[in-house]
Amino acid sequence: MTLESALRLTEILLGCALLQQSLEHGLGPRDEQRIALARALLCVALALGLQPLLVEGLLLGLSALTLRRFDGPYNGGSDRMSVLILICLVLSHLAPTTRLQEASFGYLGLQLVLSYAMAGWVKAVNPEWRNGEALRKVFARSAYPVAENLRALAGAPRLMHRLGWAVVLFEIAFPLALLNRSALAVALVLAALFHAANACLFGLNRFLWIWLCAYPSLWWLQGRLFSA
Amino acid sequence: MLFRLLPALLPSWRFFDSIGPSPRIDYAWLGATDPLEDPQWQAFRPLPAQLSWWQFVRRLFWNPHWNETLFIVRCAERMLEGDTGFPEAEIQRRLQRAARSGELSRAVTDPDARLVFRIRAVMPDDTNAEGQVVFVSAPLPLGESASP
Repeated sequence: MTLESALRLTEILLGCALLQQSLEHGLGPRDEQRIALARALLCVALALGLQPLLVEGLLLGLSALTLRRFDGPYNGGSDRMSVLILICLVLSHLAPTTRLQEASFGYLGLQLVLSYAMAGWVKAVNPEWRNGEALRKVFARSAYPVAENLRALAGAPRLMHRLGWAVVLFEIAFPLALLNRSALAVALVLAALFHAANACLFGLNRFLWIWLCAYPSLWWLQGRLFSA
Repeated sequence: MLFRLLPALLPSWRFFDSIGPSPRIDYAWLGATDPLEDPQWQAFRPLPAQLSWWQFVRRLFWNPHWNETLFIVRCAERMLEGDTGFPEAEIQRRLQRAARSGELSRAVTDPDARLVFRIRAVMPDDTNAEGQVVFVSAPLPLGESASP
């Protein structure tokens, strides 16, 4: 995958992901609807490849407005990832040399790797994640499960223990997938399924779509670093 | 304003690093002159008993209600952490909007009824699944002054 095609694919995916979010905000209070409408129009332009630098700059400006409106992110990490992708795209377009363009876009791939590795590391050093208690508490007491019957999963300690370790090991081992193209393909599919599971169990649908937007950057980065 | 974008350049990615207290929001209606004593609390947006496979799939693409609920929960978490001001005002605003839209079931028929909400902190280790009440709002009017 060339740098240009990876950038273009990222823009198309990001346009679709942010459009989905904007349509959801269309049901919100009136001040949110105004921002959502402007963002939806820009998302269509981004997906179509119209004036990408201008559109991405405007989307960044709207992101700043949104962060001010909600006094921080509306949807936590997914908003942070959206802004990170936009910044990397803008810098890639502004970069005066190919090397700087690669560095800007490669930074997104690097942060994607860190998003899994860091999340795995902070869990691995927490004894509650190692003994399955953390995941049990998430299902039993947190506000995240989307239905009451999912809370019953907390009553299966062996399952919680195994699932907890599966999450920790997958996230920590994710960087190793960079060493091999096929391993990376498998890791990205598993990661997407992990996000889909989080979307179903905890309703975190925006994380699924926005993390997928960063995958082309990692696919391109792996090829750039490790292919002949 | 652009300063707000900078943290995204160096995200911490510390998802679920620890499991802290989890807030629950309840609401109640008061008549125009009712005192704030033992009102009939109801859970705000209680979880459905279960979801169908179709609902799981649909929510991958269309989940505005739940995402708003998560935002309100985050506001309540900020209040548990001692941050007042914006989070409290935002919860008020969204509850008032939900009340005006008819989402909140209304036991009091008084046209000048007021809304009140409370936050319970459910501790991850506590055997008390109901949690402890840590905040009770002042009665909120549903007049025209509140924005939609």
